[in-house]
Amino acid sequence: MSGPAYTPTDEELAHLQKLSSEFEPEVTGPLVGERQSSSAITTEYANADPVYRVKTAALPSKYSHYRTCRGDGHCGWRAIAFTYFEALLRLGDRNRFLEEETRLRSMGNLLNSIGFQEHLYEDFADECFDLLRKTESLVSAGNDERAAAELLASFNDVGVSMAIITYFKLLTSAWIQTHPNDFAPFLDLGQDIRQYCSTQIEPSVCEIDHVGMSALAEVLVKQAGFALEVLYLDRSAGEEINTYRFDPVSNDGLPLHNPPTLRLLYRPGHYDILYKMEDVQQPAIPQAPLHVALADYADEFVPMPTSRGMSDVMSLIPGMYPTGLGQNWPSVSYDYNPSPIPQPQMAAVPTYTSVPVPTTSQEYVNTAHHNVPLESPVGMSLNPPMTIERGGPFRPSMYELEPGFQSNHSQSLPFQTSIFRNSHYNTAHFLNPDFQPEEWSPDSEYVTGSRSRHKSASQ
Amino acid sequence: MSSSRSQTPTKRLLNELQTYQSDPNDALVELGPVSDNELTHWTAVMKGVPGTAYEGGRWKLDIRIPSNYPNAPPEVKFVTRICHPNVNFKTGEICLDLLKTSWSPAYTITTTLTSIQQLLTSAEPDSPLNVDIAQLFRLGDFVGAEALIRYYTESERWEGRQSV
Repeated sequence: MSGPAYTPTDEELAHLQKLSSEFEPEVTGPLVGERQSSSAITTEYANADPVYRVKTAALPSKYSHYRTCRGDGHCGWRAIAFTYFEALLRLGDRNRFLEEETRLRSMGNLLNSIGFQEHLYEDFADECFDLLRKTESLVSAGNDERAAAELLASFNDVGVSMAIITYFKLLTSAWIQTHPNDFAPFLDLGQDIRQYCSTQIEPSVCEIDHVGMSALAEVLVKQAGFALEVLYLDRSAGEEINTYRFDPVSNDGLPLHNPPTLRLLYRPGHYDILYKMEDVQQPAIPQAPLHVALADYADEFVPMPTSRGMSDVMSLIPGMYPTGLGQNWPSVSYDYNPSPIPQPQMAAVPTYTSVPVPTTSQEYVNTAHHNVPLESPVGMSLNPPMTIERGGPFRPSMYELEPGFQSNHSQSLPFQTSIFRNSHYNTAHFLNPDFQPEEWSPDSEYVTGSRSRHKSASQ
Repeated sequence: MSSSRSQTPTKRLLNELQTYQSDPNDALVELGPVSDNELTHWTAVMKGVPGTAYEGGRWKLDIRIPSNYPNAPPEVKFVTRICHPNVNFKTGEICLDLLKTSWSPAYTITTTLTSIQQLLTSAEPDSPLNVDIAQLFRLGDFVGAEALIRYYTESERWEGRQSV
């Protein structure tokens, strides 16, 4: 550029410093975008760092769709707020909207106790309640599509969007300040809770950090009975995108089974929204009863702690999720969970092709009605879960899940003598406790036939 | 589009004005819009804190409210000249994070002015807009600094309508 002897004057430096500190990247795109196929993310990273390439390649098979948020410094807050509304919409239960409004209104005391003045936050809160009511009335009129459109339009309106974000920020701040013991250890050394909230949570231009996100998950997401899942896409080692979950618990402290989940994709400095296939589809079957922690009253919820963990593990296995709508058969596989900690076995699936393999008609991310807890016969912990490779929407019989079911009787034992054959040790004998009548099997006959023929030919 | 409640700051500003009138701010002599038909341009007169070098002072401030208020902070400037490390002596520009990065919609015009008054007693000479007074502070010449501040507080005192 200029010669080596050139040294900028102080004024020029000051000017450059001013320019750089005032610089704001030009942000474009809608505040909240339309839902699109997540293969766009894979494409975006196709020429990027190999770590990203590997991590994003597996993404579309598990998370079928995504939605962008404008990177204007509010995307994390906006993404959570939007998905929160969307989760309510997905449930399609008008009572849930009313419950949520009541619950949020009841937190006015929380805000007041921190010293927020009601006449200041009520504008923001009303904007949130208005949107809850608007979507509720459309949902109860059976007009889910219009409700979704209304939601998207509202969140793309800067005023509404910012009001709701501000309201949630104030709730978050109040939550942190009323639960100092939960959050103080995570702040910078010597940082005061109040000071932290006024510089990191409440300012209108500040992105959500991890402390803020945990607090928002507590105050908004988990109390509504929702889970929050964040996928961290960064250049850390590994082939999987790191996932962090905030799970709601019922009143007795056990995790809720299969809660509606808000999913975010985090790339350093930016949040987008992710969807699984199950989130995108309209629920054909009414959902299992869902529960709000409206107040601390006891709920009738019966937790199923083991099966939930299992379905999560299944969903983490790459390529185990249908990639297209057409393949969405009713589940023909059964999660079987013989031991409380199946993770080590499950994790031993190290390789996969980067191209999502068209899977068979099996859906592993199961909902409650797919989850049949089987009685555990001894010695069955071979390789759970057992899957029956078979087309069509038919359930396998319980015998098909027995290991060796097909192999056992389809080939006769080669060392069979006539004495054994006629004794009760033979399973074909009616006195055998595991009596199993002999069946004619064309395969075995063919095999033995060919073998003997082969033998005779070689001799 | 869907709702316009938060699109213009009018309702919020009227609300704030009403609150101020029923619950005045001790830091201020007066606060309000410049005229009835211009709600986004306010003016205020601030008092000095007793027991400090700014004791007895009166400063007029100019407050411009952006259209996206309260999502963006108001622009506040000293009209009366003030001798303070974080205030530009000529332009009246104030260096306060509250007016920039840490603005929150939960603040109001009055709470902002209270913070500005607090800035008078808690100057930060390390990010100065008035280098001369900041240098005195940094050198530890507090007697000289106080004398200079008292001089300007007295000589520049806003007399405004009270004297008229």
